[in-house]
Order: sequence, then structure tokens, then C-alpha cells
Amino acid sequence: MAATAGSNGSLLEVRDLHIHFFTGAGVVKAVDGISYGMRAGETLGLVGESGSGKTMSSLALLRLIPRPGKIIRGEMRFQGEDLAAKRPDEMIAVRGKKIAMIFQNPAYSLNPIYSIGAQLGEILCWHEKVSRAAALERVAELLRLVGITDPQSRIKQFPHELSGGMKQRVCIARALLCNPALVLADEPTTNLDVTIQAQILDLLKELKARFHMAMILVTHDMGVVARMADRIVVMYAGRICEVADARTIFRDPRHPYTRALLATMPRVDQSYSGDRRSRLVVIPGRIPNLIDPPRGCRFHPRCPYAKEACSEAVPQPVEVGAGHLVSCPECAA
Amino acid sequence: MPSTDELLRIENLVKSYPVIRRGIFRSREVGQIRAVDDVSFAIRAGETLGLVGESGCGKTTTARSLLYLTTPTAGRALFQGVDVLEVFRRGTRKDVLAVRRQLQYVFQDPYLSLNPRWSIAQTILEPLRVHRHLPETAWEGRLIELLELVGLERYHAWRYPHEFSGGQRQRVGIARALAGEPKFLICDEPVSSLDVSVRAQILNLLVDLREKLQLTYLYISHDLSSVRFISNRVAVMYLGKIVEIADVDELFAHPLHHYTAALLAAILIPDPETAVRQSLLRGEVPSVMAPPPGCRFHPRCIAATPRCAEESPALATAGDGHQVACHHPC
Repeated sequence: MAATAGSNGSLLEVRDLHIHFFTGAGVVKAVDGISYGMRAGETLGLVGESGSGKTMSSLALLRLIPRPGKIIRGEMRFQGEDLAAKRPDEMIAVRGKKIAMIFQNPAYSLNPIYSIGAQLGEILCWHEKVSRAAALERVAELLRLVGITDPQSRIKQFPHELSGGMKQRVCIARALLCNPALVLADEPTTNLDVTIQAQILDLLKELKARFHMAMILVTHDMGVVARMADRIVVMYAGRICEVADARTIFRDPRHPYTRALLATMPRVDQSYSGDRRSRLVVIPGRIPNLIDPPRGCRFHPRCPYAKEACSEAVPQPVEVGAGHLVSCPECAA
Repeated sequence: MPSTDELLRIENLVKSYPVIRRGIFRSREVGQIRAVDDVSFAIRAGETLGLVGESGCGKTTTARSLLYLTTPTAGRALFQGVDVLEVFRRGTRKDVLAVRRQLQYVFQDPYLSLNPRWSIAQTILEPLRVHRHLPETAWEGRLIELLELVGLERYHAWRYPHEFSGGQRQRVGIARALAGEPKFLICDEPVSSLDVSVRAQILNLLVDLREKLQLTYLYISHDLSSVRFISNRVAVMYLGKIVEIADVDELFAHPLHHYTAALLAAILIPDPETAVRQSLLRGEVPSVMAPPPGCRFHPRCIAATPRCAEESPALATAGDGHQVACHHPC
């Protein structure tokens, strides 16, 4: 089933989303005014380090922000409806049905005391109002699709009987049960070994095309987004630095943070042994505390190009090319 | 530059764990897990040997066995000609301490490897308290020296681990390892729990320290890009065995073992326009409790023949400094 697009051809429009955590130490501004959009069938890579707000901005779409976090302000228009304005009971019809999620750690996101068939079948019984037998049949079919051999016997097994790669395959099957228009994948391969990671990413790519779904891929790994994403949103300390199609992010990054992030990682396709003096490019300093974030541009204390103005005004996104937005007036000029 | 003198030579290291089925009345041993199975390699003074492999392949067990943090089942570890495992087994406390001063360990998780109730000064000075190689009057000077060496400030000495970021904690872990002036450092995934923007700082620090203090590293990681950056030579492990050792550029350019080739092909290059390489592997890592007979990699290997299922290949020299354990190398 193809996703039904919203009025302006887009699947999702997030506008000025703010998520704050009200902790004893103060208000943590985890997500501070982010806006982005995506089309049906697109893969959007949400890239950033820990604390950049990438996970929270994806959880917000399911309204699953953990306490003491709250969506303070903003709009999340999905298929024409504002998810931020929905009542909690209305969200039940969205979760797993229209928007599904694949979590980072498959071992924790499966219920250890129910069999695979029982916990996946329940989702179908709930959303699609089908019989238990029909649900199990569909579960088996999906397990086969995600590359699990002998699905009829796997249905009776429990999560602890499966390997890490297998569990993640089960989680992917679970996300696809109701043909969602959008799948959120939060670091889907971070806990897996490299060889398994490649298998899972290939599988996700194949299934995405087959089910015509859109995907938000949350990750800190530039290698993963390079392989998977059509467009990339780079986040830092709760704000968006740069949005562009994948090729532009890697070929023509404009924001100093995007550039630094790409330059700071050692590359496996590059030799370092010729010159023993070679050093990696370093981003000085550390990720800011979001209770009291730097004024103005949040990257300015670590930015080699920072000017006085950077510590005053919050940088607004500037379009420097088709669909290429950069939140840095210095670099956009 | 790495010299030709061997600093450390591991010979036939084995670590096996008994698998015990517990009954109500009696327990019995039903099998053995050979986590490290007959591993031999040498590290030259001043060089960094990268040890790579997937989780559960025995990288960390190898390293911990070297320092007797876990008791190896068999094998020798010659450090400057002396079998340190024998020293750990039978030596006097004085001998053991002398060895421990030379061989130090930087742990993976700087959140778990620092005592939260100890100030940074206490943590870094603990090796001085144990080894007593410096008079107490010199401790403060040594503390300041160590803090500066790893890029921390003097006032950090009186703070506690929770006041530090991951990168700073790892600096503390490195300072503690350096306190006894070791020659050899085992770095067990020192950057894998750190944020991307901080990783480069710690990797650069390790390279700087290697030059400044003439250190030799065993660098353990599953992240091949950091291994490529820091290592001179690389050893690849699979299910408790070393399958290939070569100079770093040689290994990345011309892998001979099919597992190494598959591992390299699975790495994601941060560039959307590099050709996606076909996955060279099928299936998943088999259980270490019942490893496949013959070559342990044969059920997943694209070049496997009947011989591979019967005969276990030995690590053999295949060119200049390149060793591989495969009947049909690439």
C-alpha cells in the first residue's frame, strides 16, 4: 500500500518543534525549534551525536517522549493531521499502524515472556481486527520476508532463543506488520557486528522499496546514512545545522559542524602509516550542557570560524541551493 | 619507528571456560568454550598491533589473559624474554608488581572503570601507592605531570568522575595507566563508548603518547577505521583463532583471508557515491560452544571446499610479514 500523501505532496512536516525536560537541575532544552519535512517513500537520515536531540525528535512523532520531557511547542503534520494536537487515545491508532518504530537495542525492545508469534500477532489483532490464526499466518509471512528461515517454528520461540541479528530482523518484521507509511529506525544497527550490520541495512533498503514506505533513520554513523539516506538532517545540541540531499552533505557541506564531523572520523579507505606525524582533525571542546546552552549559535564555542555575531543571534536557516538549508549566516554568505 | 626487537611474544595462548549444567543433586561439565584457541603473535617494541574481530571472537579475553586478569588455561607470554604468565602464577608479590608496572590496561568504558568515590588525584596516584617506585614527596609533581601529559588541568585533580565528560574520563583512565611508567599498554576499545567528535581527540592523544613515551600498544577494536589510523600491524580474530596478521596497509589493500575480505567489504564508507560492495558473508557467527570442525569460518566462507571442513588451516607465512590461516587464500 502506498502512503497517502498530504495536501502539498509531503508526508510529514515538522514545524518549530520544542521538547524540554523539566529536571531538578533545570530545564533541559533537548530539542529547540527544529523544522523539517519529508516526502512519501523518502529516507531521511537524522544525524548527530548523543544529546543532539535526534532520538527525542523521532520519539516525538509517536508522542513517546519519556517523563519529565514534554513537547512545549510545535506542529508535526503527518498525512495532513497534526500529531502534536492529537489526544493520547487518538495516538493509539497511529502507533504501529501508520508510524512504526525499530529501536536501537532489539534485546530490550522485545518482550522476553511472550513468544515471537504472540507479541507480533497481538499488534495485528489490535490494529487490523483479524483472527489470531490469520494474524499468525501474516506474522510468519513477514518473518520469511525479513530473512528468517523456518518461520513456523520461530513463531513459537522466545526472544532469548534468537541471536542479536535475528532479534533485529524480528523487530523489523514487527514494524512492517501494518504497512506503515513511515518507519522510524533509531540506530538500528549500532548494537550489531559489522558483518550483520551490512545485512540488516541491505534488508531495510529492500523492504523500504517493496513496501513503499518512508523512513527516518536516526544515527551517529555517517557511513550508515551515506549508504541509506536520500536526504540528511544534521543536528547539534537540539537544533538543526544543515539539511540537504545526501550527496550534497558529503560533497559540499557548508555548516562548520557538518564539515568537522566528516573530517574528524578516521577513514578506513585512507592510509595513515605513510606519515607517522599524521593526526586526525579534532573538534575542540565538548558537547554543551543543554540546561544552559551557549547563546546564539550553539556550536560557536567550538567553531573555528566563529565571529562575535555568532554568540548573539540564533542563526536562521538560509537556502544556499535547491533544498540545501544551512543555519550559519557566515557560511551561507 | 617500530624496531625489530620483539617486546612481547604470545605463544599458544588458550583460555577455555567449562560449560556446567547444574542439576539439583549434581552438576556436570557438558562442554568447553575455547574462547581463545591456540593464539600466537608477537609485538615489536614501539609498534601498535591492532586486534580486530566481531564480538565474542576472543579479543578481550586474549588481552585480559595476558595480564592475568582472567587465568589463561595454557600458553606463554614472553615479555622481554620473561614468561609473565609464569610470574603471575608462581612469582613473589614483588616480581608480579614489577611486571604489572610494565604492562598496563586502558579499559573500554570510562564510566565503569573509575571509582566514583575517588577523586581524580586518588585514582591517578593509586598506582604510585601500590608500586612505591617514587618517594611520597615526588607524588604531587608526578600527578601534575601526568595530568598535563593527558591534557587535563591541575584543578581537575580534586574533582570526581561524575563531573567529567566521557572523553575526559578516558584521559583519566590513560593517566592512571601511565602512572607506573609502563612500556606496554593494552587499549581495549578505548574510544568506542565516546562521542564521534571526542574520539579523534583521544586517538590523537594515544598517538602523541606513543611517540613521546616510546610506548607499545595492543589496540583492540571492532572499529576498523580507528584500527587503520593507529596500528602498524593488524591481527584479525575469528571464533578464538587468529586468521590473519599483516602490516596495516597490506591488510586493508590485499586481505588474504576470506573473513578479512568480508569484514572489510562490510564497512560502510561515509560517501554516498562509493559502490556498494556485495556482502561476502552468509549466516551469522556460529556458537563458540560447538565451533565448526576444520576451518571455523568454512560454513560462512564463499571459497570453502570439502577440505576446509576437515582440516584446520594453520597460520602460515604468505609474503613479507603477512600470515594467513586459510587453505584457499584470496
